[in-house]
Amino acid sequence: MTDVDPRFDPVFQRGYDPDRHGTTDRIEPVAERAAPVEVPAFARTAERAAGPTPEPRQPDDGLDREGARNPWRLALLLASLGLLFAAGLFMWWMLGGGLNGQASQSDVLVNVLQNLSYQAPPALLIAGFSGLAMWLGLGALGQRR
Amino acid sequence: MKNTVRLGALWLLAALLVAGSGASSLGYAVLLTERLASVSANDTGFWQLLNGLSMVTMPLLAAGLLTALIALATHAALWDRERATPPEP
Repeated sequence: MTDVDPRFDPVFQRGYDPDRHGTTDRIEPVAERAAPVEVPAFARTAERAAGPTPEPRQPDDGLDREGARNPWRLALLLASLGLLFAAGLFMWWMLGGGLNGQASQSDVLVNVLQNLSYQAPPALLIAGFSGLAMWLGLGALGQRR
Repeated sequence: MKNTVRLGALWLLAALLVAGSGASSLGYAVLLTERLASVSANDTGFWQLLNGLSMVTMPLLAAGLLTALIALATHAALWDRERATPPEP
């Protein structure tokens, strides 16, 4: 490879006259002129004993991505599990009697709770399982990249 | 449109849906509490309203919760994408 800076070539110097100075060889790169360095015997022995040198790991390889925890994905998982847990609690509460003992048509709060106890568990189950599916899908996408 | 605006809209939609679900549940309970004793069986408007409020509570709640989870998943995907993108030279 002769990628020497042409500014150092005498041909391109100020006042260069080919008749007076003659043609000169272009400057060879230092790396090409340098004699090969003889590696001492003891160094070769030490190199063999150490075995193959592991290649330095790139900072953005797959291991780093796997090791990094995505806080949003963790939040998604926790929210989904929380919704499923809340659905289970609602159903357990309803199966245990719920508001049957104190149901009163004249209390707004009791009526709200009565309505929610019937309406909330399906919604919580749908959202919780869908959230788990999203979490799994995001994990699969992260592995593929 | 920037991602921040889209995500904000997603969270706002989730909050509106959950709030709508709560409002319909509260309206159902108030109607039941205040008017059930005095309403007649022929008052079809009242019964339709009561049934309607009862019917929309669960879908609105499910949609609101799902929207919130989708917003979380979008945050997670954007976070992954930002990490995968090599830095500008």
